[in-house]
Amino acid sequence: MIEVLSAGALATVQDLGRTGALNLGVGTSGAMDPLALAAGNILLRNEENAAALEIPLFPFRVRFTHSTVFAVTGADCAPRLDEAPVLPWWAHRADAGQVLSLAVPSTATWRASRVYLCIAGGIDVPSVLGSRSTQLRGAFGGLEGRPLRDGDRLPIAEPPGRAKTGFGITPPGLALPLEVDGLTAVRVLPAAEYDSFTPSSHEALWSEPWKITSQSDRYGYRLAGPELRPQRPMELRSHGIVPGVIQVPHGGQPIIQMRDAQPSGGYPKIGTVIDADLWRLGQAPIGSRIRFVLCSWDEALDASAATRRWLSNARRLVELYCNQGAVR
Amino acid sequence: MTNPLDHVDQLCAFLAATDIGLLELKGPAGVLRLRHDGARVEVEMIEAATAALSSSPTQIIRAPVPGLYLDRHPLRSQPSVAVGDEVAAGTPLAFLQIGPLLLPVPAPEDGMVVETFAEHGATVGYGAPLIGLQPHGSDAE
Amino acid sequence: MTTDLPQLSLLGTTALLFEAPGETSLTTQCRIWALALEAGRLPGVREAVPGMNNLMIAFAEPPRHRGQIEHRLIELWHALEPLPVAGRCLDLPVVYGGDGGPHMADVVAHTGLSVDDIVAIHSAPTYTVYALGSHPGYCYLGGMDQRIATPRRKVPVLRIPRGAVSIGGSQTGVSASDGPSGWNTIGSTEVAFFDVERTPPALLQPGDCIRFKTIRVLR
Repeated sequence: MIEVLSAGALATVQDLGRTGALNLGVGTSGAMDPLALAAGNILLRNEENAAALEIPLFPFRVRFTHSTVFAVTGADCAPRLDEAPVLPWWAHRADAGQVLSLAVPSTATWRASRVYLCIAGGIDVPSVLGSRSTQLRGAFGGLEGRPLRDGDRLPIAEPPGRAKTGFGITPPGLALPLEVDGLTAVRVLPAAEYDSFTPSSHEALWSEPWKITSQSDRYGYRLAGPELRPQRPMELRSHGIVPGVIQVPHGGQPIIQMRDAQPSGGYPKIGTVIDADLWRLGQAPIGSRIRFVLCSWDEALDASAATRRWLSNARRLVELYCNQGAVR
Repeated sequence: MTNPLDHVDQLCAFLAATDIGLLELKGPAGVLRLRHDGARVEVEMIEAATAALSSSPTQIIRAPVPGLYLDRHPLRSQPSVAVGDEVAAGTPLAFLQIGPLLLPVPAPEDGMVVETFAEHGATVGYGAPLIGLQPHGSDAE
Repeated sequence: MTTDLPQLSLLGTTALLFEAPGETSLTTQCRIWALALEAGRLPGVREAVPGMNNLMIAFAEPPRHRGQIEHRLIELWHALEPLPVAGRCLDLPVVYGGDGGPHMADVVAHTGLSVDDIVAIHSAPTYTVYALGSHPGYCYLGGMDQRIATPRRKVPVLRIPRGAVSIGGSQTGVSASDGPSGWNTIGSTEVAFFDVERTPPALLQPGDCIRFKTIRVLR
C-alpha cells in the first residue's frame, strides 16, 4: 500500500490506456508520456502496461506502508526518500514507513513536466473495461475515477520478486530528441480538412512556434499562435478522432487532443500529431512553445518502430543485467 | 578486481549493444580481446600474464563493465562528486551507460574522492581507472 | 463527381476516417452500421467506430501499405446490404431554457426563431441514435430539423453538466456526464446513459431512438 500525504493536484493512476471501448464513447486515457511509464516498468521488470501514478503538479509526497521497490521516471523532480536525495530513473527500495517527496521538476537538462511513480508489481486498482487508467470524464477506472487526494491509500499488486535495485535506465527523451530552432518539435500527418485551410495557415502551421496555453490539460492542449483560417467556414458531421488530432475551432486557435480526448468531435482537423511523438507533447510544460513538422506515413511508422526498438533494447539489457548481474 | 573471464558472456552481450569495435581487457588472469563487427562479437585470449596491480593508499575504482563514462546522471547538470568530496560506501560516484542501461560506479567504502581519471562522455573499457578514493581508516597499506 | 465517392483520410497512424458522400441521412447511416460490422473484422483493425454518416477504423497495428484496406473499405461500401433500424425508444423529459439552457439566446439569435418555436421544433421528431461517441454513453442523434441548426461555439465551454440538451451545427444530443463541449445548451434532462457496473455499460446503442418530452420552458 502507498499512502498519499500530499496529492498536489490532478495526479491520477494511469497505465498505457484503454482500447476497444470507443464504440461505447469511452476514450483511451492512459499515460501522457507512455514512454516514461513503459521504461519505468521495464526497469522494475513489470509488465510494460502496469499502472503507475502520473503526477503533473508538485510538491507530491507518499508514504510506503511496506518495503517497496519503486522508480521515479519522467521529469527530474529531485526525489527524496525521507531526507536523502535519490536518483530519478533508478530502481530503489523504500523501507516500510519511508516517505518519498517529489519537488517541482527542473527543466535544466530536459524540458519535461510530468513525473511517473512506478512501483514493482504496479498499482493494483481494478481493471475497468480492460484498463486501470483513470477515466475522468466517465468517473471510472484508476482510484474511484478521480484525481488523487491527500489521505488516499493505493493498493500495490504482489510484486513477482524479480525487481532489482541499484541501477537505472536513461530517459528516452534524451535518446530520441526532436527539436526545431531549440523548441520541442512533433511530427504531424495532414488530416481531412488540411487542404481546406488557406495557404497562409499552412505556412503558419509549419513555420511558427505554438505556445501551450494555461488552458491545457490531459483532455487537450489549447495553443496560441497565428490564426488558422479555413478558406470557407466548415460545419462537419461528428466523427471519430484520436489523441493527437489538431482541431481548429472557429476562433482559429488550434487544440491538440490529448490522452483524455473524447473519442469523437466535429471541429475541422488540420493534422494529427503522430502517435510516436505524443509523449513529447505529454511532457511539454504549459507556457512552453512547440513546433510542428510535416511528415509522411512511412516516416511516422518508422518513428513508432524506433520507439519500440528503444524499449525492446532497454528490456533486453535490463533482463541481461538482472539475470547475470554479478557485475559489481 | 574480478576476473573478466568470469563475465565474458555478459561483456559480449553488452558490447553488442554498443558501437564499440574493439575492447582489450586486462585482468589478473590475462588479457582478452573482444572484436565487435556490428553483427557478432569474437572473443580472443591473447596471453596469460600476471599483471601486478599497483598498490597504493589510494584505492582506484575501475570500470566494472565497458561503457560510456558519465560523471553525472544524464538528467543532472553537475557532476555527482568532485575531488575533495567525502562519500559514503555505496554512493554512486559516477555512471556507466550501456545503451539505455545506466549502471552505478559506487564507492566501495567510506572515503574521500582524491582523483578522477575518465572524462565525462568517454568510452571506457573494462577495468579502466575512473576515480581515486582515499579510504577512511586505512590511509596506508 | 468526387462528392459521390466516399472520402478516406488519416487520423495520424492510429486510425483511418471513412466519410460517406451526400447529405446526412438515416439510409446512409444504416450502410455505415453494416460497414462497421464488416470493417471491424478486417485484419489489423481493433475497432470500427461509427460517427454521423462516417466510420473511424482504429488500427491494432497500422499497415505499412494502406492501399489494401482502403480499397477493401470502398469495395465493401458498394457491395454491402444496409442494416435495418431495429431498437427501442426512450422518452426523455426536458426543461428548456433557464439556467439549464444557457445558450438558448444564441440559438434564438442565430435562427431568428422564438424560444417557443425552437422548443416545438426540437421536441417534435423521434431521433435515431446514429452512433455513440464524445464521452461514455453519449448518443449522436439524427433527425434534427435544420431550421434550428446553430454553429458550434467559437470557444468551447469548459464544463457543461450531465443531462444538458444541446445543439451543435445540424445535430442535437444530451450530455451523459459533466465536461467540456463546443455545443449550444438549450435545456436539461436527467438520465443515466452510462454505468460501468451495467452490462452493457451504455444505455442506448446505434439503432435505438429518443423522444424529448417538454416539461417546462423557462425564459
